[in-house]
Amino acid sequence: MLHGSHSSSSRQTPASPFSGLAARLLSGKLRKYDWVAFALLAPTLFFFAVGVLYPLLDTFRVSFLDWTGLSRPKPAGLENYIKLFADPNFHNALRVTLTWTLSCTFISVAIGWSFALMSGLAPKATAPFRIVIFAAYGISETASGLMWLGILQPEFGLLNGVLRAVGLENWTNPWLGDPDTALWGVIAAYVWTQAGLPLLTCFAAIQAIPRSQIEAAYVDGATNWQILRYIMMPLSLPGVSIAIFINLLNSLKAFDMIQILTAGGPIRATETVGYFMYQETVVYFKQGYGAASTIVLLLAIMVCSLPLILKRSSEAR
Amino acid sequence: MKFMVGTSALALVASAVFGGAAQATDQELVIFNWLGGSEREMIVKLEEGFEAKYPEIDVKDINPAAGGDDARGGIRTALLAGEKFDILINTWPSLEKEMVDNGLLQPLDGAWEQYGWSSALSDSWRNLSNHDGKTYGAYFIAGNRSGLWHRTDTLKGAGIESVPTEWDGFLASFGSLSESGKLPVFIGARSWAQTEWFENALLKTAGTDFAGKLARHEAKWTDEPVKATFRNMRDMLQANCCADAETMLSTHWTDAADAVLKDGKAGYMLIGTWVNSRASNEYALTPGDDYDFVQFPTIDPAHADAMSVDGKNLVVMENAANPEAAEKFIDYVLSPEGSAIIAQYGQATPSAHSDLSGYDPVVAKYAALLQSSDVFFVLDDLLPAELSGEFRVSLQKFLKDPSDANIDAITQAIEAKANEVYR
Amino acid sequence: MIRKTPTWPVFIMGAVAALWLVPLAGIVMMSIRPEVEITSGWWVLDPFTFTLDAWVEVWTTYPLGKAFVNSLLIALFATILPVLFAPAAAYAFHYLKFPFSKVLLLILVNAFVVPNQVVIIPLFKLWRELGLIDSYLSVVIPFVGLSFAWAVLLVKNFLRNFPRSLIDAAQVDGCGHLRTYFYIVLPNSLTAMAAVAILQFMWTWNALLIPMLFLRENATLPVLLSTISGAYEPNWDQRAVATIITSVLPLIIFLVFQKYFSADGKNRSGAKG
Repeated sequence: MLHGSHSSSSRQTPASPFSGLAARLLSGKLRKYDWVAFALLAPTLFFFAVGVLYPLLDTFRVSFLDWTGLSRPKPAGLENYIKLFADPNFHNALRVTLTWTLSCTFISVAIGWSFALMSGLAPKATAPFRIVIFAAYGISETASGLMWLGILQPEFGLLNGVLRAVGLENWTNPWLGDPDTALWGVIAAYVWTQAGLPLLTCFAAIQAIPRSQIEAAYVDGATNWQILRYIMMPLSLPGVSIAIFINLLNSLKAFDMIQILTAGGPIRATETVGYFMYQETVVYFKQGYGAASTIVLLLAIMVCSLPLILKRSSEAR
Repeated sequence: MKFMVGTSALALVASAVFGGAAQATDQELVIFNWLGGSEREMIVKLEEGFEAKYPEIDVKDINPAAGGDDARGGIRTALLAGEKFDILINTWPSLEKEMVDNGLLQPLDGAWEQYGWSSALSDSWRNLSNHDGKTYGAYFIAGNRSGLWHRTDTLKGAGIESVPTEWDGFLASFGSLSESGKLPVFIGARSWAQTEWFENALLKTAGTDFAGKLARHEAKWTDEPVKATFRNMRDMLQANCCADAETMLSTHWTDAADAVLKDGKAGYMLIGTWVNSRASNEYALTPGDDYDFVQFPTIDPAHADAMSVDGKNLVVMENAANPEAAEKFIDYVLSPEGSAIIAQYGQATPSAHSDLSGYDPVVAKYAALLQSSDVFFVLDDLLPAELSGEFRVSLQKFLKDPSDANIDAITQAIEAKANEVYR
Repeated sequence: MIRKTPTWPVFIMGAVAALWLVPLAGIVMMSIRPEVEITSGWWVLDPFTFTLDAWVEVWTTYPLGKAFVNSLLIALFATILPVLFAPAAAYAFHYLKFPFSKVLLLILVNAFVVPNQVVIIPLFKLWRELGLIDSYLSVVIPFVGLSFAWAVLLVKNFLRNFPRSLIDAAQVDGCGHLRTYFYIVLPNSLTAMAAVAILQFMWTWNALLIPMLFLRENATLPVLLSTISGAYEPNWDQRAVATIITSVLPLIIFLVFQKYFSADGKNRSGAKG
């Protein structure tokens, strides 16, 4: 992805007025619809329509029902939505989700990106380390949750064990049972699984920088730090943005890890919207209510991402 | 893929056209087996035994919701989507009631008389599956949820000859346990194991009748007996029974089992009988010798024989394709052969056809209690799932702050949720 | 290359990777020790008993071979389709003008937040009516559908920096969009496709909920191994074995595809002139 050098050079070069596509793209007047787009989109739209859109529309329909699955559905109008906005547990879930998604994403990307930059300076020597960090990404959330339970558990957990061993007895804490630390414990575990992704995308972006460009900078007397700061950092930004996107949305949906480490507790301290939706739809089986919370979340995210996507699309043309 | 779909459709058509007479093994019995671990193996073993006895019936074991902590979601999803099966294994009376209310189960009273299941199951067990005067399920495994488990050497080391059977004496024994360097009681309250303590305290404070009313929401959560139960639990907390609230909230019953039965770091734990197989298989301890259980101590002598139990039963779906085979299967499970297989897996069955002599002393002890006590199904499974969620969190709040003010706040919160759930 | 490789990144990353290894080491330790030892903490080495009981148990109890094949085929189908189609969609969204393009992109991308538990019930009903329960399609279709949300965006992001000169040249040569796509864009998008492939493979390989509900005889590896733990039997040692068994293949795939990234860096610098 992420072939930074070309973008910067092509942006500087004025496009030839005679080259077909560029001309049409640049001058709005000549724009016509490219119907061939639908041929290119057809397979995507097919799978999307069956696998996602149809269930989503059904969810929208169900969100106006009072339905626990086994009984006959009753029309509920906007009742589910009204109840949702008044539900203190939903408010709590939104608060927790804000801390959770932002922290997970920020920390994962910060770690992954800085490691990618370091790898860029020494790609060969750091290869095994990259594999180790990425390997965590390939392990299911359930399994990672089990591993981290072994670290954060108060009695037999590694963390408290190490603290005791080095004489920091006072620092030991039932990390997952203390409402103040439980969320951070789960965040640490989640970051462990997620940091491999930004590392992968950012490192790919850095690898795509032509060697010649770096070598030229080096010949001009640039230090490692300058190469990192002025070449690798800006040119790996596309990798960063895709990682932010995927990490953000991944953490929004995280469930298994939370289930294993804290089951949403203590006292709902780790109950994210994802967990809330799971409880309502799968455990309590309040189909209508769970559907309403899904739709609300979806709309909220759509509104937030609208400017981003519109900006992207206009930039592209 | 297409090919596979095609052939199975063809097979369906073929069986419809040629009917049951075409082949000997034409009957199919579909069992929704969502269990995991050794319980799952036990069911598969029962199915194999059944097939051997009735070669004309082919058992198909489906598990669209295998393993996991709470299989109710998977079961409901399958039901909702129209998954067809004959027998469902159930362990939540609240789910069973909902299925009965929506006409998804068929009554078993006819089969009960025809096969004479009353010789296997007492009326008290039959009544656990009674809804509006009809019987919808046959219990085949049962457990004690009132057992306080402990290591014999832990108690001996603290100078406790026998576990006090009265509440005050029980609380008083905490001192000697603490002096011998043990945490008196380990409560793992991360998820749901804290509810065991409340439920047993409730049964011994207010009795099974009140608990039944509470489960049906004929009594209120703000009623005095509920608050009295909380205050009794507070007495226990104030007798320094347990670790700090944070430690309780970060541990599960498995941690409690490790601390109490394996490492001997803590005195007692309260949990279902499944811990027995963990202790004997994984910790390699001798039941009755290395460890044992006593029933939850008496609080109000009027409710001394109240006992919390759990169990799994078999229910037959209303749209079952083969109800006769389903009934035959239930009959097999309750029979001496079926009971023997269940016993092999260390599970107690309420069936009178079980041979108690085959059990280890611990299982034999609670199997006898199952017959003689005033049994009440574990409250958390009687509550609708949503209320049970509020109930669990409320108990976590209580462990953090057992003050009168908080008891009032908690009981009001559960009552408010109950008003919303039971409409 | 005259530049000297600095050593500090190696030390820092080495130290962090060592930390990263701790939970991984834990999984291995759990799989080779009796459960009674693990429950005191896998890192407690006294006593240490080596045993392959859990491995033998898992190996003999579960029909791993069949589940492995199911998992592999499902993950392959569910990976190849987005790898082929996401670039096409991204090309259309990026270079072409067509009605509702922004709305379509918005819906497509935001579908990423759709949780699995939302799609299962409507799809379950649909699959039953179509007789697709227990067929690979029942799992592959939602996997592929859900993947486009991020896969299209990922490739589109890549196209943002695609050398426009190449496309313009093709247009001047009279290539239509389909030909431009197939002959110019697709062969030069290997990096983006590799990224899509790796991520999608890992997700579909580890997925549990959808295959658990839609498959019966054709259960995947994670579904099969999820029956290891009962509600009351954690069976940590066997679960550790299951984790290792299921994680090996994604790791190998990653190692293989990782080479694509660096190789592609070289290819692409040649395309400039």
